Order: sequence, then C-alpha cells, then structure tokens
Amino acid sequence: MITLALLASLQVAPTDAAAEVQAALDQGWFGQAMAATRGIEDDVDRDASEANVLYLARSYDAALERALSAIDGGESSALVFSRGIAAATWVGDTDTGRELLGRLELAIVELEPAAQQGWRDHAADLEVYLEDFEGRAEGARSALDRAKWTAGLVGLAALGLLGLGIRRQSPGS
Amino acid sequence: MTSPTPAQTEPGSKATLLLVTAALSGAAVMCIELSAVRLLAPWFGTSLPVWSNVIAVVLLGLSIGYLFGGRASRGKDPAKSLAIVLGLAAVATAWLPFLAGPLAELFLPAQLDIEQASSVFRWGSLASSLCLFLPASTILGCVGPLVVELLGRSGLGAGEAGGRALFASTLGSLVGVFGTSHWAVPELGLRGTLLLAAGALVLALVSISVVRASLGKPQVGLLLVALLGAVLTPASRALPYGLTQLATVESPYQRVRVVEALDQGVRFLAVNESTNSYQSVWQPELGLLDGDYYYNDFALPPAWVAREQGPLSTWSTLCIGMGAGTAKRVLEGSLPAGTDLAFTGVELDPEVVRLGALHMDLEQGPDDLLASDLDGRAALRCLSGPFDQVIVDAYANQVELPAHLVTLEFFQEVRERLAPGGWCQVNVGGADTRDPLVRAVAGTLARAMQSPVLLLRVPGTRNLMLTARRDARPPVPTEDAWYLLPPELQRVVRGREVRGQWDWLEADAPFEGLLTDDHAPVEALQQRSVEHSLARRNRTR
Repeated sequence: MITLALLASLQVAPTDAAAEVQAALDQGWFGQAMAATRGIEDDVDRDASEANVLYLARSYDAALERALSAIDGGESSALVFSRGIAAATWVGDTDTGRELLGRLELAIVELEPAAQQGWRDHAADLEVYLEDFEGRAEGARSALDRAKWTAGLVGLAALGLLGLGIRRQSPGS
Repeated sequence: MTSPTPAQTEPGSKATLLLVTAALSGAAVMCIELSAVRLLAPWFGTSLPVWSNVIAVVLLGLSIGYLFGGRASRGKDPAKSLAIVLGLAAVATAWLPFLAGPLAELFLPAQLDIEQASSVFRWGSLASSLCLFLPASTILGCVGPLVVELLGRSGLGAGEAGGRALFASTLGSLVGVFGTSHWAVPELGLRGTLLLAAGALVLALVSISVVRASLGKPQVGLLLVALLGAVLTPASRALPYGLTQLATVESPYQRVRVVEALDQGVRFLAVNESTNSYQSVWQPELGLLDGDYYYNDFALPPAWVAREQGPLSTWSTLCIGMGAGTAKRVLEGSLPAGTDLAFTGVELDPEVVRLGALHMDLEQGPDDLLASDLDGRAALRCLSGPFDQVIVDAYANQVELPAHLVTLEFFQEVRERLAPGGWCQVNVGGADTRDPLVRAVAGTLARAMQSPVLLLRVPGTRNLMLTARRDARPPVPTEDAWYLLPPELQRVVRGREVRGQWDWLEADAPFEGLLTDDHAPVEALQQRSVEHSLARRNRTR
C-alpha cells in the first residue's frame, strides 16, 4: 500500500487541477476526480493522474491503459509505475507488470536517498504479488500440459487396447 | 460367439444367480457414471463438456471391456474369470473417492483464479475421467460377455443367453440410475454411493462363488484391497486455513456446504467449487454487506425510487436464484424507513434453502413466499406479479448461467411481471463490459425489456450487474439521479462512475449473440468469455 509518506516523497508541486483531483479523491468522489483531471494541461501528467484515479476506483484495466499511455509519453514517476504494476498484476498482464517493476526500480534510484527505502519496500511488496500471480499462471500452464499429455497417452493406450481386442476377435487372426 | 469349451453345465438356480450378477454390474455401471460427474464437480464443475468427457470415457471403457470379456469367455473356467473381474471392479470402484481428489488436483491445482482454472476444465476433466473411470468401466464391460458365456454353457441358446443377460443388466442399470440420483447420492453421499456400488459388486462376486462353489484366494485378496480403499477415503475435503465448516450435504444437484470465516464471523454457502466462489453470504446484521459484494446493488433500485417518488409503503421483489437468502437480508436491512418488503424467492435446490434457514437466518415473513425445488423459469410462469424488482441470480455448476434463464423469451416473461417502471437486475460473471457473454446477455435483456441496459462492474470481483427498467431508464453515473442516495448507499456507487466500470446498451443497439429459447449457446459464450479474459493478459506492449 502506498502511504502518504511515500506520496510526499515524490515532492510534486501540486497544480490547482491536481489539488482539485486530490480533494475529490479525499472525499471518495472518483467521478469528480476524473473530471478534475481534465484541468491538467500536460497530456502525460493528465494520463498519470487519471491512472491514479482509475486505480483507486479499482477500474484496473482502464488504470493500466492510462498508466502505459503516461509512461509511453515519458512519465517516469515512481507512482505511475507502481499503479501500473499493481493494475497489471490484477488484470493478469504479468509481462507488463515485470517490465514496469524494472522501471520502478530505476525510478527509485532517482529519488531522494531518504525516500528510497520506503519505495524499495513498496516495490518488494509489488514483486511478491506479481510472483504470486506468475506462480499461479505457471501452475495453470503446467496443469494444462499435464492434462493434455495424460489424456493423450491414456486415450491412445485405450484405443490401442481396443484395436488389439478387435484384431484378436477377428476370424482367422 | 466362439464355441464354448465343453465343460460344466450350470443348474437353473445358478443361471438366476448369473442374471443377478448381470443386474448388479449394470447397476454399478450407472452408479459410477452418474457419480463420476459429481465426483469431479468440485474441481471441474458439471458442464456439458465434463458430462461428455465422462460419458465418452465410460463408453470407451465398456467397449474395450466387451471385447476382452468376449476373449476371456473362451477360457476353460469363465466363472473364475468372472469372479476375478468382479473383484477387480469392486476394487476399482471402492478406490474412486480416494483417488479422485489427488488426481483432480494434479490437473487443477488449488489457488488458481477463475480464468486460469477455466482454461484447464476441459482437458483436466478428460484426463481425470480417463485415469479414474476407464479402468472401472473396462473391467465392468467384461462382465456381460462372461455372463452370456456361462448362461450359454448352462444350456441356453446364444440368442436367449444374450437376451436374458441384456435384460438383467439393463434392468439393473435402470435401478442404478434412479437409485443413484434419487436416493443414494442425497442419502449416502458420493463416498457412500460408490462404496454401495462396490458392495453390489462384492455381492455379485459372492453369487459367482456360489456358482463356482468356492471363493479363491485371489478374490479374497481383492475384497481386502477394496475394503482398504473404503477405509482410506476421506469423508470430505480439507478446508483452507481460517475457515470452519458448519454443514455439508450432497443435495440432488450439488455438494453444498456452509463455512464461516473465523476472523470475520461471515458465513458463505458454497457449492462444489474449489475456485473461491460462493452462492450466498451471511453476516450477523441485516442490510448492506461489508465489502465488495454484488448483493449490495440490489438495494439501489428502491433507494432511487424513494428519492424519485417519495416514501414507499411496500417494495415487492422476486428473486430467481435466491440461494440462502442473501438478497432478502440485504433488502430487509436497507429499504427506506417505513417500507415493507414483500419478498418472493425461488431456489432450485431445497438443501440450499434448508441450510439457509439453519445457518443464515433465512426466514419466511408474512408477506414472503419462499419456494424451493422449483426451476426459476417454471416458477416465473406461476407468478403473476407485478413486482417492483426482479432479480435474476441463478447459476449452475459454480459459474454457468442456465441457458433458459437468459433468453429473450425469459426476459419477456420477466417484463410482463414487472410493474411499470419496475427493475430487472441480472448478475452475470464476466471480465469487463466488453465481455462477449456479458454483451450477449445485456443485449438480449435490452431487446426483451425494450429499454436500455446499464452494465455495472462490481469492483474487485468478476461480477457485473445488468440493470434495466420496464418503460423507463435506470440512472447512469453521468446523471445527478445516480448520486441521489442515502449516505450508507453512497459507498455502493462510489468508484463505479469512472471509465471501464460501466457501460450502457440501448434497446436497439446492435450486438452479437441474441439468446433465444431456440438458440442460446451459453457454454460457447462462456468459453469466449474466458478467452476474452485471458487475451487481456500478457498483451504485447
């Protein structure tokens, strides 16, 4: 979970629009917060802010889309990477989550030394979630392979037995 | 048929014992086949593909068994072969409940989410069916030819021997079908049912021993192995840490259990599943549930109507797929002050209602009608309404929408029973508002209601609530009416107004997959829904 201390560590000077977004978020009015993001002039900043609002409203696929748009536009704040990783993990896009985790670690290095440890702890938490999902996805893939191989082999053996039985029953065989 | 070796001739009474053997093995085959799907249900559900896999495997086994049974009947002592076959069949049957869990978990590990699990259902159920049921059905397939051979050697002609054996085994199968589904599974549970089938085969083995006038060491050994399987089989599966089980029953439809989360005091009624889904939720207080539950959405329509029209004296709700009454308790505790609830609930599974009354405070009030053992569609035809709200929350086999409860004709019947301006809410599982299954059901609902449908995601879950009104429009998050709710209900709508959390489908909007009674490919749509979910994953950037 991102704490206020972590957010403060990003030392972003709030614009009026950003403050409006935050005020709406504090009230739990996500629709108003989304509307307020329209006041953010910079496209990339707006995408990043929308990603944050959408993530908090738990619209994870939309949050991921906005976070990626912001990142592709050059946004490199730890917050947008963090939101992107968490949303990607929720959606199940582990490749994207893993890529963003690498970029989050680079972004942490750029932060003030005092803020780095908190963000490192947060990144470690995100990695645990990601690994957990990756483990389950791998488990599903292995199980599917196992099921296909078993069904194939046992099915073939059964059909072989059937063929053998037919051959033995044939007159003259 | 090959010419029998001239050997012993069985007396008439022994022929009767042979026919009893054929009948018992016929009953055992059907018992295994019907129990097989239920045995796999906790992991793979009981969908049509699972049924098809099980039936195909049993038929494959029987066909192999017929061939090898015919081969074995050429031997010098077919009675001995039959005794061994029956002993092996008893072993293979008695061990099924013990082996089912470990084998199924090999193909469907625990802790997968629903999309991950769904991708494994078809192959996993096929592999499990082949490993579990092919041996038993193959061995049982050998019984028929051996019985026919022994009857033939007792002096009957080939046709008469075959006819009598088929008569007895088919009659046994008939008893097996009714006995398994109507009595054994509900009364004895799956473990008990399969042990009963194994016991029937042991009885047949004893009959054959009478024919042979001996019970050889191999048969005694097999009986002991069968007994070991019976002893080792656990009565039920272990629960995840933090849950305690309050009740579990095998109903005529599914395995039902009530569990309680130790740290929260919340109870869940779950069916079959190993995929973290539930059919009903209970918390001690009436009203909105703590957390992200779709049931809370059922409280929105009366609140919106009260804000629009002023105080309501009564609110009548029909809930198709009542479960253990969660919707009722949510509504009872959240209706506007002074409004009485007249609740009509329909639930197919009577055990769910019974457990709801025992563990989840499901009570029938003076204005309520709680009906169980009734299909939702059939019940709807018996109800005239008008209802202020019709909730469709019917699921089969954990995650599957019953096809006949999402068709155009069904929703038209719902519309006829709604009061003017009445609300229809349908709970559908899906990845998002673009999910093919969700779009098909929403589009069908819109056509039937002749009004737009609101598609609303339930945050943090895989549920979407489809909402439509008769001759009216539900509020949408861009309108002020959306927010006109009492403070306690504000939390239900907050966060759902942002992009991706909702969508809107007009009555005449084009969509793919109108569902009708004639053509409702719900299972194919569910497969596409899973593929849609998986396609969102690992998108190439």
